[in-house]
Amino acid sequence: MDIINVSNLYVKYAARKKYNMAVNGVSLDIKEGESAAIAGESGCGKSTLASALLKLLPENAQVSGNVMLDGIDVFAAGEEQLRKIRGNTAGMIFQDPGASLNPLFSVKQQIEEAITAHFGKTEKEELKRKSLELLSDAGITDAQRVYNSYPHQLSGGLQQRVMAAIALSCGPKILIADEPTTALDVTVQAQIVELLKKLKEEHKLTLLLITHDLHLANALASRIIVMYAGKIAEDGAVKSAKTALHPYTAALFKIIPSLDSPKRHFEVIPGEVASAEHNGNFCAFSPRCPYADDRCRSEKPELKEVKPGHFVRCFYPGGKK
Amino acid sequence: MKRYILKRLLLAVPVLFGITLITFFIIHLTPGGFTAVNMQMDIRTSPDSIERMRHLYGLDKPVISQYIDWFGRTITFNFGESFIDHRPVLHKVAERLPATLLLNILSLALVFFFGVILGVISAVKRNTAVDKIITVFTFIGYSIPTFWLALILMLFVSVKAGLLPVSGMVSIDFDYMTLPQKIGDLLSHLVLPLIVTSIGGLAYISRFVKSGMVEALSQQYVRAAYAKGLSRKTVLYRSALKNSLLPVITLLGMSVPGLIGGSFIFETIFAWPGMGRLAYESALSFDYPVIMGVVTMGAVLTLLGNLAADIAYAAVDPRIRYK
Ligand SMILES: Nc1ncnc2c1ncn2[C@@H]1O[C@H](COP(=O)(O)OP(=O)(O)OP(=O)(O)O)[C@@H](O)[C@H]1O
Ligand code: SF4
Ligand SMILES: [Mg+2]
Repeated sequence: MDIINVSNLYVKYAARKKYNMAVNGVSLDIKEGESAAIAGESGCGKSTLASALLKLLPENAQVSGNVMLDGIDVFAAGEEQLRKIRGNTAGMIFQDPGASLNPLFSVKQQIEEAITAHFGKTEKEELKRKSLELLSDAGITDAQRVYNSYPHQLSGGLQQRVMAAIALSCGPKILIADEPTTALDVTVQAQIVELLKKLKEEHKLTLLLITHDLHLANALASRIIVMYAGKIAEDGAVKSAKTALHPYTAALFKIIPSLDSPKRHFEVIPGEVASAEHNGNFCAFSPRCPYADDRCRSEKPELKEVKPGHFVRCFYPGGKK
Repeated sequence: MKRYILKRLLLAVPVLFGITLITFFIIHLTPGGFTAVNMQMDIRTSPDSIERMRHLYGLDKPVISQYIDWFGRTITFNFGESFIDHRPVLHKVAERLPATLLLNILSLALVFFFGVILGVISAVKRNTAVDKIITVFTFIGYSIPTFWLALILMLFVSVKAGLLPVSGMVSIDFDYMTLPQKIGDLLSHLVLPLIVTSIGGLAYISRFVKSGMVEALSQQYVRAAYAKGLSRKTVLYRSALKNSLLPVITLLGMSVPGLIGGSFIFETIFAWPGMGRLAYESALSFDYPVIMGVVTMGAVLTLLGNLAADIAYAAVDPRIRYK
């Protein structure tokens, strides 16, 4: 059964008398227990998509389409039902753990308010036992100290572990992780990847990872969903540049050094990132694509199943040979 | 935390020293002077007697050595006595202190309480009619000249309509009243001075709270709080509100000098028997020891206000508490 079901999702942001299209018609099904990663360059709409799943979009966002999480229609849900979806159905961790934790409240307060929000008033002892268990579960060895700390007293890695503990505090089926390692040191990144792997196994989670790093995506997910200009460009098990069927995916693999590569230069795909606005009759990637021809510039490719379970939005999957 | 408070206290000492030094010089260098105002009008005084008077009060010495004398006496809590009625300065200030404290503490409490409420409503109901009404009110409150407002209120509410007493702190027959009557009498005298002293600060603080709250609501931790499944109420009034109050605490600490400065004007307008009016009266007659007494007391109050704000800030913000 599909635990996440997105159909025809459009999200645009109101900005000074015009709209910025961020997600431009995304449909997507993720099965229970599956690990999927949404990848793509900055601004392609990954975070917007992730936030839309929990209806966490800012006020200026306008949505159309449909999101079902574990059988519940998210956009039609009232406040109480939304509260259940957030925490009970899906937990979420964010890019910058330092900014995601409230600086004025202790770890104890922030983890316990999540528990009481879902289980109602709970005995102090029980709350503490549960919190400590969640923290140790998130790989924190001195859980007692962390429990009594304030966010600024913790390192980035510990903060992200706390976020993970909070996200899992109400036993969700889904974990959405939006760039969970981007703000962390390289060594800490690897630890968080290990943690997510472990949590995914132990809690039988459906994992939705948002990242711009295809190697990280492959470390955690068996299915990669590549987005370009607010649309899905490729969706399938893509392990490397060679198995990528969309030229954009192949280019993404090339620019990102692998996790253990000694040189971690920042490289970019030449050309400008297309905005999701474009609605012309051409492939959004054509200005940057080495294979682009007249057809690509005069016709819009659709997302097609090229191999079983592998979808590509390109006229020439795998490039012209 | 203890170290933090101790540090703040130690830092207060040079500030106190600086305030008194500067004030001392300013009032002693002001044209006029005690003898000019209080003796030269009198045709019976000879230049000789003025000289004797100046010598008696030590006014013939250089200002710096006068300050050193004053400072030396003051640190032993001897503030001297008034040149005018020869009562100890400490007594004169002490008997005026409660009236000033009463008015200012009540005013601060009102400003804080209603300022936070208005600011939060404004932020939560941003861009609605409620927000716009509050914005207009704060705009008026902030830009209205308060001394003018004081006179207008006195004229219409007290003189024309006779709803409230015109001035003073209590009625003449206060001593013969029962306790509830006394309280009622005091409150009725408090209404206008409170409105006038609070309105500017209220407008200011509510603007401040609003922007703090709007800022807090845009933070990542607010989104994370929603993502945990907290209710809107909890997110607004627990997660965000505390953060939006941080700048307000600092502001309250900083507003004490303004309140004391305002006391000079409003206590005089409303004939409020507080320190501000005492300062005004002694300034007119160049009663140096009393002026210095009031200034020192004002400086101490300011520093106490700042210290209270610092402590409150540390109590709210763990980043300061556990540095
Ligand atoms: N609150 C907002 N108001 C207006 N525009 C926004 C807002 N949030 C995002 N956008 C725009 O929507 C587009 C998609 O943003 P989104 O954050 O989803 O991208 P992303 O793929 O997560 O990028 P990144 O890798 O930088 O996080 C971008 O062009 C961005 O500028
Ligand atoms: S459709 Fe054409 S331009 Fe677009 S990605 Fe495929 S080959 Fe490149
Ligand atoms: Mg993002």
